[in-house]
Amino acid sequence: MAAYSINVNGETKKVDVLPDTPLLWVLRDSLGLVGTKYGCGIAQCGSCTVHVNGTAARSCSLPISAVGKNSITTIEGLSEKGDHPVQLAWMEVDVPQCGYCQAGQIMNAAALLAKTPSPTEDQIATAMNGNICRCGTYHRIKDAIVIASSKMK
Amino acid sequence: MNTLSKTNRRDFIKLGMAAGSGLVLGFSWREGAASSLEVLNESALPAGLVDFNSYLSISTDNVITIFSPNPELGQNIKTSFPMIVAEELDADWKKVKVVQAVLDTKKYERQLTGGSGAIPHSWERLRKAGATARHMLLEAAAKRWKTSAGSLTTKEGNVIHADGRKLSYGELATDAASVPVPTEVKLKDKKDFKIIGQPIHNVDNLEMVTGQPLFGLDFYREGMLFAMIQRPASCGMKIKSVDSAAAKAMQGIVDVVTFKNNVAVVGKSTWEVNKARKALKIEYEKEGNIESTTDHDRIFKESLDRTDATVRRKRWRCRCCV
Repeated sequence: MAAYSINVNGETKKVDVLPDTPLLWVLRDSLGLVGTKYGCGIAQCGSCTVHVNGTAARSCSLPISAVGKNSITTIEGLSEKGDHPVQLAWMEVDVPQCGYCQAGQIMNAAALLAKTPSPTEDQIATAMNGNICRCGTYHRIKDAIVIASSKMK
Repeated sequence: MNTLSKTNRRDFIKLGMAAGSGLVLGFSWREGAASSLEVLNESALPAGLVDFNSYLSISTDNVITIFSPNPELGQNIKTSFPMIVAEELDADWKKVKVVQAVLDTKKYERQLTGGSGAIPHSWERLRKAGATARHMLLEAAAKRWKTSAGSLTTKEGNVIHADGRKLSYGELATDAASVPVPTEVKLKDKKDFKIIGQPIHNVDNLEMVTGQPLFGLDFYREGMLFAMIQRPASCGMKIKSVDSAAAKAMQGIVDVVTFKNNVAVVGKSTWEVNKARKALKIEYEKEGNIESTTDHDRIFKESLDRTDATVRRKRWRCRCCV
């Protein structure tokens, strides 16, 4: 075991875990931040997506020992009251069905819009390509990103 | 998410009345018992006198609750059930909440998601429950105002007098509990539907987009342990020996348990358990035939090529959809 001090959603958190523990399980098991979901465990599905210094990253494949002083944002920390433009757009068009992959979808979409405020449809498709949704909500994900983009201007 | 951990009758009723006295109508989700509704209260408890496995409650603070056996799996049942109840009740549909029942196969016939069956199965009983409660609220208001129920109307959770006075369902709920339960209630004509047929946002949207716990994987309790199961790689393989010494010696591992044809690693965190599972040394032996995809292809092809085929089912729908 080893002690780590990490920055999550603007707060410093101390955890004592194995050095190879993926950030995903630190968030879920140690910190109780269960919004970030386990999907495949091998960075293939995107359901565990969080922000590392504002960039989308797969927390299932990021060992705690590599987190260092980087600042982590999870779905719980994306906004105070669920009112980030991406979250509002998601509710407006009822994107989720079962909802399981949606935290990862939203985090990836928010990272996209932070970097590319007015993405083209192709840019949306390319950026969201790695986030799998078993319910098949892709068309609404795209619609919601377009809406969020227009409201962020 | 609210769940009922113990389902004895007393707890069940208390759950329905959690927000105060109000009106609690018991009804059944079983086939053939759809029309029986009755007022539930603690004095009606002698076992065996009531036959229900669900309820509709109206609390004194205007919260309307239905107890639903149907699991939410993205089909939006937690949104559509309240819509149906609110329609017949003329309630503000946002005040109707679903309390999710735990899995209980003895109590419920059809506690599953699949086959598009939940609405056809539950549609009429939910409407009747809503219409029955509305009738009782109207009677309670008529008594309070010393007028006839027929002269009153209902809208968005209120009974409205011809002169414009209003009483909310919550204000009337306790009185309504002493109104005799009607045996027959008139359901709305479909042309009068105000909620059913309208696009309504999913009730879990905010929880889903903010990452609140809604899923099985999100269930955590203080001090709980984690388990992962190592299963054989295919059917037809049987455990010959298990060497769990290395796994047991690993950080955070509490025990390794072999049961049936599986080996479970139990420990203090998901990651520790996952690592130890990979350190198990399990030998398998062949027991019977191991079917592969190639075998399946061959079996299907042989079946299709047979000329003496027997038709097993003529109906186009599978049994679960009937």
